[in-house]
Amino acid sequence: MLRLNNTFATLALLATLAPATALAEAGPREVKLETNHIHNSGDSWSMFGAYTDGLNTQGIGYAQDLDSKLSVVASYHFGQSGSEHYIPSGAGTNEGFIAAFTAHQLSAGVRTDLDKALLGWFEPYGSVRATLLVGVVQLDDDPEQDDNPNQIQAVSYAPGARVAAGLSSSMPLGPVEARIDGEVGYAYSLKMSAGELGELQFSGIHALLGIGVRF
Amino acid sequence: MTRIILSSMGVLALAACGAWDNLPHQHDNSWNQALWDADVTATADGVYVRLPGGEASVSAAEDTGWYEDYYYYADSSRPLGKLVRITDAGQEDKQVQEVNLGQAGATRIEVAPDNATALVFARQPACDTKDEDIQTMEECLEEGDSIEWNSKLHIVRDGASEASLDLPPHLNAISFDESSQFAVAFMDTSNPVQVDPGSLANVSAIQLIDLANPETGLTSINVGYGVERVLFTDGGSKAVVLSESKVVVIGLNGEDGPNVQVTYHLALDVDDDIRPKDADLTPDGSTAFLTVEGSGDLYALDLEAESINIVDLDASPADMIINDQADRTALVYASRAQVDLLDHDLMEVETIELDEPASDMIEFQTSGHALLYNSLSSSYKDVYKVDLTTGDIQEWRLKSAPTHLVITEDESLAVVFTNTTSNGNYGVEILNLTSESGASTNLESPNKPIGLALTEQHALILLEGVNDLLQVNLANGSTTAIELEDSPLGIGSYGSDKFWITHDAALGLVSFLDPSNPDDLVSVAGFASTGLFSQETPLAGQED
Repeated sequence: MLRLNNTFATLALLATLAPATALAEAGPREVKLETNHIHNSGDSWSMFGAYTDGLNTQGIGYAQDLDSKLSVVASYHFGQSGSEHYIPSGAGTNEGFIAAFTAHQLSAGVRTDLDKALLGWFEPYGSVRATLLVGVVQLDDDPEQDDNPNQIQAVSYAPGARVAAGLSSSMPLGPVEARIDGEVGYAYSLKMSAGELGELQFSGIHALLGIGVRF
Repeated sequence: MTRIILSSMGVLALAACGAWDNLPHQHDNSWNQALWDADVTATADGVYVRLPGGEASVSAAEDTGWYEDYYYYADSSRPLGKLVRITDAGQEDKQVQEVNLGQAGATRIEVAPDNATALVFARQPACDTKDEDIQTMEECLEEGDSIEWNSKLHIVRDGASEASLDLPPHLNAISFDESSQFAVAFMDTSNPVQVDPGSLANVSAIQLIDLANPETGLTSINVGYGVERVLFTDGGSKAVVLSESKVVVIGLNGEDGPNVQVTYHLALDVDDDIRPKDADLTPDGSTAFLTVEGSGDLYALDLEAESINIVDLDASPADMIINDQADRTALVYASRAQVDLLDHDLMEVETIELDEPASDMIEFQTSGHALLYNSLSSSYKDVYKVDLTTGDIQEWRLKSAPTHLVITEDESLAVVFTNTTSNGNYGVEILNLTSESGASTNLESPNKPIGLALTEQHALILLEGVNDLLQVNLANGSTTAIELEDSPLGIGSYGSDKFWITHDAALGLVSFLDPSNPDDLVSVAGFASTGLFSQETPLAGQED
């Protein structure tokens, strides 16, 4: 699992950075570690996380200034959530099952930085991004058995978009600048079809926190 | 650029496929019922499986190492439930087919004798509002309106609903005529009865369903309170409805439609409450015999002369069969060691003494015999084969009391599951019914037998907690194990010569066995996950 996800992350990063790099040949760059919340308050999400409203992801972000106010931004995020479901004995079948959701999210867009003087240490910004969520649904009712016939998997895509407003702060750190970002906004994505299982939709409040370097 | 992105996405899809050895499960959910009803229903064209919904509320607790009694509703996740048909034929992705019941969810299934018609009891939600903008159950609930559940009966053939009828919910039982042309829905008070709040249900009426012409709808006929049983004469020309203190004969093929032909009152005084217990018709349909609760009276209703004879028996019989070849009725008693044989012409009873009481009988279809045993008491171990013409008896003595008994199609052997024997093992005995010395083959296991099906030469037996199907040679008792995918729950026949086996698997698992090729089991899995992520439930008339 870890090896596959590493492969995915590498490929995703390449796919994310390629267009951004092609768009901008000069100007300062940023590389950040990020954590993000992908919102899902639908009832179906209870299959993967009871009493949660989506999943938190971790990933890497990249930005490159086009000019002093405008940057292209891109990111790759990865996250997982799952539940173990228990079926009561005497209900016919008494084995439970695990339902797991793995998210790979790509995003790319632009960020505009506003006047730093507005908030002292903090620089407000706004961003608009296109997103692509690749979701992997996995159900397994006998995790101890490698070739269990009830290993059910569905992979689906959901394109979407998100808008956010945030604050960033940076300080010199040797030859580079350390930078921290925090933003909230709204994300919308189309429904993900998981075949016969049904549909999932990740839309709602978006929140992101990033920390990295600018050089 | 576009090429780079598209090719990257293709690789992403492959890379996204996860492994199975360490799935994340930070949370715990506890369901109050299974995702599928393992009590499946088989017809000639497949196995129908209910995927329950509705009351499937989910309790949840964070994985803190101890259980918190949190509850929330997951009703909008597959709230109606679904019905699927499973077959072993065709491509793998075509083996599970959802049966479209409109906006209704299946609650129960009954199969007609033709083995092709399934009657599916269903419930269909409606929103108690005049707001025409409300199109889903979820919108209805969000607006604070209540959901009303309407009772439906779907006639399903070959995996498709051919008709949907508005069946009052209190009609909870159904009887079919042998040709499967007619069915009668009635209220069985021995099972839970639901009456719609705010309504007045006519519990004295039955509903006749013309299965051959379902578009004619339901025909309501008043017959009396407390219907116990509905019988049909051969050819389906009459229905005989047994209710409290009353028997009503209904002609089914009249020019003006079904009509009551005659009513027999079983009691002269309305204060006498006579409840039919068991009933059957003579093969020519001329006479109906019925026993009553708590009484030794056997009522013989002459359906042609429209008269009643009452035969005085020693007690209320536990079981009754009417045999064509012998032209006699056999009756046994739970507490009396005797079998009574009633001659249909003379209405005289011949009593044959037994060593032990018998509570159950199996009628032989090809000869005038019956097999008698006692399933009500663990003290009695005798099995008797009775010649209903001569009264001759052959006896077998089991090692322990029988719990389940079936006879082979050629009626030469019986396979019996028994309680634990003196050494603590469960017994399986094969009785040679043609033997004059009570010959049998005895098998024992520490595991409880939970399923039995018969082929011409073998008994297919499931044992609790054992992941094998045991194929027992009926001639010599030798056993061959057929490995199964998972621990089994039940077995039954499917089509003309195959068998289904259900397994203890939360996401659904049914195997199909062709006895001529036992190593080639076909397993169909995962069907119970169908529709688990449904988010909206359209109301009737608001289909997508």
